[in-house]
Amino acid sequence: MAQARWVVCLGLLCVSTLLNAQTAASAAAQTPSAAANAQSSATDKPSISLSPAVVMAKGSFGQTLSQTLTLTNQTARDFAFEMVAEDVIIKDGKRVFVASGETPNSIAASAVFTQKTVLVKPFSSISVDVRLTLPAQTDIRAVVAMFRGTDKLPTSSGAVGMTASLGSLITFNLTDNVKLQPEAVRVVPANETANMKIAQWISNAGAEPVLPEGAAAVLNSSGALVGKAIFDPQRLLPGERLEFSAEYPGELPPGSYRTLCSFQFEGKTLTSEAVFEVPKNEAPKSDASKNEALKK
Amino acid sequence: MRFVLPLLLFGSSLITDGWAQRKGSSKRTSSTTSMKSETEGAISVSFTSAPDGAALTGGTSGQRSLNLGTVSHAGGAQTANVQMQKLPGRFIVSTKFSLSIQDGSKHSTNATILAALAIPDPSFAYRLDGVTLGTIPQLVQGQARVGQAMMHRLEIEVPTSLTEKNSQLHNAIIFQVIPN
Repeated sequence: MAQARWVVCLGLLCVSTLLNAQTAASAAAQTPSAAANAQSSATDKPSISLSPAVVMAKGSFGQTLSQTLTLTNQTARDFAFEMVAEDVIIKDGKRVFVASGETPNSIAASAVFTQKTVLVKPFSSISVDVRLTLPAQTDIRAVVAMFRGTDKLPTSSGAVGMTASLGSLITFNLTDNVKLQPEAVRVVPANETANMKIAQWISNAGAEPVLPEGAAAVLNSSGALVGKAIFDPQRLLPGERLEFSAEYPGELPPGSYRTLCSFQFEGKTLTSEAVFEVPKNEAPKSDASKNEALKK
Repeated sequence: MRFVLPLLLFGSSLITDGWAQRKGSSKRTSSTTSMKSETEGAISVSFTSAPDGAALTGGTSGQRSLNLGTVSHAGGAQTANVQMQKLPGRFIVSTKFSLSIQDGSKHSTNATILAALAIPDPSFAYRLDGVTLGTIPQLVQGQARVGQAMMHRLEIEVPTSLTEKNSQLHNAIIFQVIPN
């Protein structure tokens, strides 16, 4: 049996610290020379960043959207990208990215980029405009405009390169058909390592993207507010189903409680509730839940 | 009365022309109407060493390499935090690394991560978190938390039939990061 002997060397884009949006935005506006002046501080910045991350468009069928996308390269090497657009569809409740034109009434197929390929020099940024024209009719409500990495493979033997492509999510709200379908609220007891969690699955039963923002209020048996927890906002595309969860950092004394979960979206409010108990020396148990959707 | 009538007709004709022109302009612009839009944040990607993964080395300004070193079926892995598992007719080399997605504006709470090989590679099987990679991007993580470093495990399956000469790796993994 021949022995396989080989060397693996993974070339990684390395970034060690965080970057806030304002920094990214200002970096995006820099010229290459101006960006080079900031090289000394670049070690604290990510390798590559894309702005904007998300574009939320509103309009109607047949209209066009033009958007400038800016990619910033805070590394000491060139990065090459090709510009591609993909439709985002939902299958079995989950997102699937489909090449342009492969889906009927594709929006991505209409994408026109001002540049098809770009080379981003070290410590500089580059902007590309994309124009999308909506078909007269389509069920698609999201597209990704992608800077897809095309860097050549490392030439040294036994090396595997790693590179990142970044995409901006572009969503379209085209009708008034906005509807969320909530499921039962769950209360997951706190334990030694985790806070109590309040969670709820929500499906987008409408035709438009929704970005619900919500909070859970915890009330005691006499109806007094004892605390609140905030749900992380998550975008729901039509047909998508996600679990929204919020950690309740406080410690509840034994007793009966009720949690009211409230989500705001597109001028509407969705409320649900669940009753739970916190027994003596035990973590709380979820008892029941009740959902109701209210229109403001 | 003879003078008044022609003046009225002239005036009416001006008004008609004016309306017609405005209507015509409106029709032209409606065919190219642009949508209103709002934008959110900026997204960035970083790779870092995992505490229990192979160390990132080299480079000073954003480019480093993760060297898994020399691995053989008989001798195993020579590098710290690189694991080798022997299986009938093949062995698997694995290590961990960290991928971090940031959005300083805090608008995006999670993102989708896909990964693909740059070129087909019939000699090796690449798996990322158990997902076999090909040239078509595969979903690695649908709800990757933004703002937190997430550990990922890379496995490379090597058939023992490969000789040293043809066992060199010549491929790249292309990650796709898309805010949700």
